[in-house]
Amino acid sequence: MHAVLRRLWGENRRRGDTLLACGLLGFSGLVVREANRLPPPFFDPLGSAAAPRLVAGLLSLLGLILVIRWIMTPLHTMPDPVDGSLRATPVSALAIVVAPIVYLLLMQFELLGFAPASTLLIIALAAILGRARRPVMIVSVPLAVVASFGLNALLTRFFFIDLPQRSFWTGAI
Amino acid sequence: MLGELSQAFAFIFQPWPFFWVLLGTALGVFVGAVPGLTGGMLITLVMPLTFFMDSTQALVLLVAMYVGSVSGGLISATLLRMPGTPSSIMTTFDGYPMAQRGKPERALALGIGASLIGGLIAGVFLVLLSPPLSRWAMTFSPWEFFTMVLMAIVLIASISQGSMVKGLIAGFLGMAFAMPGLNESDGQLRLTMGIQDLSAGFNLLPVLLGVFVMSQIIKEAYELHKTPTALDPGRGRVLVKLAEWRRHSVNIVRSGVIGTWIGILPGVGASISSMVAYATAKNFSKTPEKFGSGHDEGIVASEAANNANVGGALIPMITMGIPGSPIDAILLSALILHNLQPGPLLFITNGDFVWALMAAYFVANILMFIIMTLSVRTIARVVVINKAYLLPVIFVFCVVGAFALSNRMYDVWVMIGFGVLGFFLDRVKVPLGPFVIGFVLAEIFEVELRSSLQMSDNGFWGILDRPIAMSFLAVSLAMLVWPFVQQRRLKRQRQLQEAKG
Amino acid sequence: MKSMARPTRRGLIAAAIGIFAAFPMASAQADFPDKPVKVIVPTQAGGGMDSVARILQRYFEANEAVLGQRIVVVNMPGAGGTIGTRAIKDADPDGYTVGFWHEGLITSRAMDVVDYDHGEFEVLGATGYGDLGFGVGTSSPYQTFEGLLDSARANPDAIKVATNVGLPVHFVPLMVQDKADVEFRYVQVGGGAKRFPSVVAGHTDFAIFGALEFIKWADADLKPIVMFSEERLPTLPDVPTAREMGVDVVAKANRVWLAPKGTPEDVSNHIVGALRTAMADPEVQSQMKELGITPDYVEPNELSVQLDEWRERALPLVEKARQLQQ
Repeated sequence: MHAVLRRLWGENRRRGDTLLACGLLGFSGLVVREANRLPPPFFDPLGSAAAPRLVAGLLSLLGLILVIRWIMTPLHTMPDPVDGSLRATPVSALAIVVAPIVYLLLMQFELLGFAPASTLLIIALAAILGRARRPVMIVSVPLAVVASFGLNALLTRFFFIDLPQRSFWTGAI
Repeated sequence: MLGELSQAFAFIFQPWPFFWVLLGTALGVFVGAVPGLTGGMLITLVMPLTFFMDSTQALVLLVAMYVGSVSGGLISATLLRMPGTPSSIMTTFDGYPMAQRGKPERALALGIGASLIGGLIAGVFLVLLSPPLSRWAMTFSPWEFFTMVLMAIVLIASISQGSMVKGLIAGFLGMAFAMPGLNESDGQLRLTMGIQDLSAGFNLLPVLLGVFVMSQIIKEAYELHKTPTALDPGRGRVLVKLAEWRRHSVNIVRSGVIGTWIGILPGVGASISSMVAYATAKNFSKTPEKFGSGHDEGIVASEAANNANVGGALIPMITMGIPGSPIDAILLSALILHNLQPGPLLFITNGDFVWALMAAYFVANILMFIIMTLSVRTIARVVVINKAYLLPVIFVFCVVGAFALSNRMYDVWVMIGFGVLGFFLDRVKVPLGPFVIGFVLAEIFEVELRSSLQMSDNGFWGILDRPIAMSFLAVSLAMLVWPFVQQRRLKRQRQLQEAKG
Repeated sequence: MKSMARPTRRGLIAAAIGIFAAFPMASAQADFPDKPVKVIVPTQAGGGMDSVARILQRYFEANEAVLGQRIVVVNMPGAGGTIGTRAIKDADPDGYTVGFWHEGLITSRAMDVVDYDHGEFEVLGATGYGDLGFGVGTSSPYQTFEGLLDSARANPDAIKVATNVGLPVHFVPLMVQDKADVEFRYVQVGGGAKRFPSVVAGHTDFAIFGALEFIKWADADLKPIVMFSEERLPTLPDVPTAREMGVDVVAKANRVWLAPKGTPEDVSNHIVGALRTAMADPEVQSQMKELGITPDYVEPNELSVQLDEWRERALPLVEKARQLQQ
C-alpha cells in the first residue's frame, strides 16, 4: 500500500507530467462532451458552449505539449530527485483526506450532529498530524471538545447558521 | 485628494477601525511567520465572519491582514530557512546565512525596515495613481476589459515560477472549473452533468478554502518528517542605524518601485516581485558574488519588493475590479459580499471607503513595523509551534465557512474536492496562484467578450476600433512569445561561449 | 418527532376545553409557530434581497407578538436564485420553512433553468415592490421613449439595451419589443451597478433601472424616459408611463413570499397576517424605502394575478427570440 502510493505521488517529474497530461486530456474530453449537449446560441453570437470548448481545447493542447516534451527529452535530463520524498508519509496524507469524508458522511446521514462529529474529527486529525504522541493528544482532546461545542453554540445561536444538529442517537443535540 | 486622505486617516484612528487594523496586522504577522499558514488562508477564513461588520471596517481588517502576512514571512525565512509565506522565499537566501553567522538581529532588522519602506513607497503610488487610473478606466468598453483579462492570464503564466506551460495549464484549469453551473451571462445551465447541486457551479469560497487550506493540510500530513528547528533570534536590538539605510536607499527605492509595478500587473503575486527585485539588485550590485551568503542587499531587495507588491496589487483591484494578486481575488469577493460593486465606479459610489482602505494600508505598514520590531523574539518562539494543534481546528473553521456560505453540505464537499485537486496539482508542480486567478477571471473574461461581440457590428473585428484594447492584445501576444525568444537568445549566447572556450 | 406531537396534543386539549373554538385565529396562533421560522433567501448575505429579510428579522425580533417567534434567515445563493427557490419548494409544508424571491422565479422557468414557477408554491403576498423604467444617459440621442421606439423601428437590431440575460431586466425590454413591434439589440452587462456606467458612458443606449436608482443617480447623468407602473410615480412625476405612450407593459419587481405547496391554510394565513402587520410599521417602511422598494404589502390573490400575467407574457418570449435568431 505504502509503496504503491509513493510510486503514484513520487517526485519524478516524468511520471508527474504524464499523469498531468492524461488528466488534462481526459478532463477536456469531458468538458467538450458536456458542452456539445448545450442548445445552440440565442440572444448572442457566442453561446454557452463556446467558452468551455475554447478552454478545453487550450488545455488539451497544453497536455499534448507535455507529452511531446516528454518524448523529446532524453531520459537522463529528468532524473529522479532524491530529496525528502523517500521519507514522505502518503498514508497519513490519505488518512487526512479520508477522515473529513467520513466526518461529512456522518453528518449527512444524520448519525452525529456537528459538535460531536467535529470533536471526533479534530482528535483524529491531531492524531494523524501529531503521530498520536501523548503531549499532542493531551492538549488536543480538551481543545477538540471546547472548539467544537463552542463553535456550534456560537454559530447556531448568534450567527443563525443552520449547522447539522440532528443525531441518530439522541434525536437532537 | 489630501483632504480626503486626511479624513480617511481620521477615520482609521478612531477606536474601532484602529483596533481592526491592529488586530489584522498582528494576526497577519503571526500567520505569515508560521510556515504552512498563509495570508490567503487567514483572509479566506475570516472573510465570511466579517459579514456582520460594517463594510469599511471589514475590508480594513482584511487589508491589514494582507500587509501583516506578507511581512511576517521574513521571520521564519531568516530563522528557519523556511519561507513563512511563499513571498519571502528570496529572503531565505541571505537572511538565514546571516543569522547563522551570528547576526540574526541584523538580518531581522534589515528585513523589517525594508518591508516598511517598500510598503510606504507602494502606498504613495497607490494614492497618486488610483484616482486618475479609475477615471481612465471609466472610459473602458467591454473590449478593453476583455483584452485586459486576457493579458492578465498570459502574464501570470509567463512570469510564474517554473514551467510556463504549467503556469498556463493552471490558469486555464482555473477557468475551466469556473464554467459549470448557470452561466450568468446568458442565463443557460451548462456542464452540470445533470447534477442539481452543480447548477450553482463551484463557489469561490469553498474553492479557495480547498486550494489554500485543505491542500496545505494534506501537504503537511504528507511531509510529517519535516520538523523545523529555529535559530536563536539573539539578544541584541532589532534595529539598524539610519545611516545604514541611507547606504541602501537606491536599492530599496528600486526594489519598492519594481514591487509596486509588478503588483499593478494583474494577477501576479508578491513572490514574483521579490524574485525580480532580488535578481535586479544582484545585477546592479558591485558585489554580486556576495548574494546568497548573507548579504544585506539581498534581504533588503526581497523584503522591500514583496511588501511594495501589496500596495501595487491593490491599485487594479480598487480602480478596475481586476485582482492584482491571488489574495486580491479574495478581497474582491469580500467587496461583493459587502454589497460593493468593484470597478472604476467604486471611487464615485464609495469614495470614503476607497480612501479608508488606502489609509488603512499605510497604518498597517507602520503597525507591522512596530509589532515586528517589538515582538520578533516572541514570534520566533511561536513559529516552531506543532501544527497538530492548529490545523485540525483550522479545518473545522473551513468546514463551517464553506457550509455557512449557502447552508449546504455540497459546498463542503467542493472544498474537500478542491483540496485534493490542489494537493495533486502542487505535486506535479502546477502553481496554484494562477489557478485561483483563472478561476476568478473566467467570468469577467466571458461576460466582457460576450458584451463586446453583442455590441460590435462586425464580430471580432470590432476590436480594431479600440486602440487601447489593441495595445493590450499586442502586449499579451508579446508576453506569450517573449520567453521563447529569450530562451533562443540564451542558447545562442551559451553556444558562442562554448565555441570560444 | 417531538415538535409534531406537541401541537396535536395541545390541539386536543384545546378542543376538549372548547375555549379556542370561538377564536379560530387565536387557535392557529397557539399552534403555530412554536419554533423559529426559517426564511430562505436565494442570494448571498448582503445585497438588496437579503436586506429585506434582515429588516423583517429585526422587526419580528423586536415585536415578538406579531409572528409569535423569531425568523432565521438562511442564505442559499446560486444559479440565478434557483438553488434557493428549489429548497423552498422541496421543504416540509409545515410553515417552518418559507422564503421569498422576485419575478426571476418565472423567467428562470422561461429560460428552461427549472421546470417550476409560482404555481408550484403557496404565494404569501409581497413585502413591497420596486418600480421599473428605461433610463438613458443625459447626452444620449434618445431623450424620449417615443424617440427611442421610432429609431428602433427604423433601424432594427441597432439600438443597444444593457441587460442581465434571463432575468426580469431582460424580459421587460423583450415585452416592450413584442408590444411595440420593434427590435432591440441585447448586450449582456450585468447588475444595475454595471448597467449604469455602461449607459452613461454610451457603450449601450439604454437599460432598465429601478425608480430609486433614477433618483440616486440623477446627478450622475442618468435620466428616466419611461416607467412601467400603472400610474405616474409621485417621486418621478415628469416621467410618463408606458401605458400612456400606448405600450401596454406593466412590470414591477415584487418581493414575492413563497411557502411549499400544501402548507396548511391557517398556517399560511398566520404568516400573511404577520407580514401585513410588519409592512404597516413606519420603521420597516422607511428602511424598505432606502432599498428602493415601495413598501406596500401586496395581497396574495392580487399578486397571483400579476404573476400569472407575467407567466403568460414571459414564456412565449424566449421561443420567439430563439426563432428570431435562426
